[in-house]
Amino acid sequence: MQADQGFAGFVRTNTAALLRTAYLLTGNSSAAEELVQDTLVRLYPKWHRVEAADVQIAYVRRALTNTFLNERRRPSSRELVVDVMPEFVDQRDVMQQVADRDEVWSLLGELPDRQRAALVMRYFHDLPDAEIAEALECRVGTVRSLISRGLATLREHQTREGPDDQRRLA
Amino acid sequence: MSEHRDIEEALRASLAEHARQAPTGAGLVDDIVAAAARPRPTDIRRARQWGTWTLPLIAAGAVAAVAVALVGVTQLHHSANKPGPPAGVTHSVLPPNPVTTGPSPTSVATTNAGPPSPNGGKNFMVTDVSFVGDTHGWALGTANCFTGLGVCTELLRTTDGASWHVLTNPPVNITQVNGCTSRCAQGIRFATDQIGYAFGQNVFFMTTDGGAHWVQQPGGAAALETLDGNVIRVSTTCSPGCPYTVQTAPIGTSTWTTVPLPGTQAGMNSGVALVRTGQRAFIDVFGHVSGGASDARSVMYSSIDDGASWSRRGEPCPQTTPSGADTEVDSTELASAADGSVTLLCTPRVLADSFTITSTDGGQTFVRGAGGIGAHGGAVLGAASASTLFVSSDVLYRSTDGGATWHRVQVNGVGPPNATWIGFETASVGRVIAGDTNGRPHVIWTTRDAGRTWSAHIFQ
Repeated sequence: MQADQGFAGFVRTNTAALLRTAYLLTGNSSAAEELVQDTLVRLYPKWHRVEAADVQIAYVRRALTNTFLNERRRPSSRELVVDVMPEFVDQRDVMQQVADRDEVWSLLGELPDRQRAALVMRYFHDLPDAEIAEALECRVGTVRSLISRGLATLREHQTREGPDDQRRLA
Repeated sequence: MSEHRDIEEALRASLAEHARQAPTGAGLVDDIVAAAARPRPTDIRRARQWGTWTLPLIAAGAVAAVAVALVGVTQLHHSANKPGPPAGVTHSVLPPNPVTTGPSPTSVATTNAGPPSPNGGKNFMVTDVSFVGDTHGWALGTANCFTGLGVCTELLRTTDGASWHVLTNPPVNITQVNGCTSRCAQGIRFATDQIGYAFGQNVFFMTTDGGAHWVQQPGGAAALETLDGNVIRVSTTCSPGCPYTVQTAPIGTSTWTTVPLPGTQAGMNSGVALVRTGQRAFIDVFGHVSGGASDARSVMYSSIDDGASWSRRGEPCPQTTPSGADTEVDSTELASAADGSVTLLCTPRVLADSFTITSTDGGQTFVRGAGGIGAHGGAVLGAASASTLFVSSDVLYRSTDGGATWHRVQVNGVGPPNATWIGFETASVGRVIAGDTNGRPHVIWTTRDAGRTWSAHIFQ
């Protein structure tokens, strides 16, 4: 019962935060909800491990990231699901910054999953390399490589599209 | 370099902006909790009836702080009717039990001899409670697990129903809290104001001085109830997968008699519940539902002689949904009432409403409650009588017609939410362990009129 209580309390307190992470990873509301639910339900039988963690939300976030990566490794999960259909617009949005962010968001969805996950953990959660490495179950050097390559890809796309390019992802 | 910083800034801004577009999770929380709770192969179902109430519950003025709250859902500090500083100020954090080492099965656990700490209960989260009278009870739980010393078991005692004292050195740790590895318990029961038991699947302690000192006995208990001067415990050597063993003993002794359960306990079991009323006792061994396995029906056993002998009743739940569709229906909760009745919560394996069945003849025949409780609803079940039943879902629901119709229990628009335990001592007096606004089980609700009105005692 104690597990039930702790679990229910944790879910009520942290689901919104986990959904934000999941949404950034999946790019899709339904997939985010499914990811959060799958992660928490899978953790429930061993909830004592979560309770023993120094920072419970960090533990669960790591599990969520792993669930995301593992699910996406399955052949049936290769489909990229997005909430908004990418479409071309004829000219730059007046709100250039917003457009830039949308472009980054779209490009983010095209990155390999591990790069995307690493970027989300670094630039949304501001996690240090070591914690990202723990979450991704890799070495710190690999994390740096993932982030560097991810940023390079984003920068390359922006450069290639160019400021004068009329075709921008909305 | 600047390009890198630009893309980093753009990425950071994009992530922050799109995070705000993430779903809020409205409705998802309950789905997650329900989905996680539904298949519980390792859950130990605790008894749902406080079988030990050695004193008639008549003290009308007791639990004075709680009584004040009868005008509404008022958050009462446990020391509200006592002068002095807030609970947290004087609350002693006691030396924790080690979680990595445990005593040998026959070793003696002792407490220090210091006086109990008054005003205990700050941030206390209730795991289990046991009362031997209207105002004399114990509560087992945890407090400040993640902000305090890390190991955080607390055992509280009240003799006036209002102020709670911390008993030093509780003998057990709490199952599944902080990675509990030894002396992991989830239950406490007192037979008298002196004799009590703290138990878990692999641990069993007895006190004969009201909880000041504890002596470990071999074995454990997945469920335990004490009544009529004897105690019944149900134990297993592993869960899920191993059969359950029933033992009885006179209270305050270590002389256990093993009582066979008739028939073979087939397959995997996911937990057990034990309830007692009068000389009747009921055990429900729950089927294993993980992985969507079929035929996870439970098996109920009944006794009319304080557990000295048992009859096998099979799965009492009718195998149809409330709409009449044939399907597997499993009993998932068990409750008894002071009038000798026993009620089970029946949960279809398909997405259909749960319902209750009630027996007033010792489990030989059951009457089905016509009202559906909601698909996979009803986390816990309680019974004040054969007709007055309670189930918890998002809030507490009450039926006064044997489960035919259900109504939300509310006091000034609020009722006990997220109940994790319901127990009735008499046909009118019952208590509920429930969550606070954050879902944490800080609250003990009490009713003295069979659930018409409730008061709340909040540990905070």
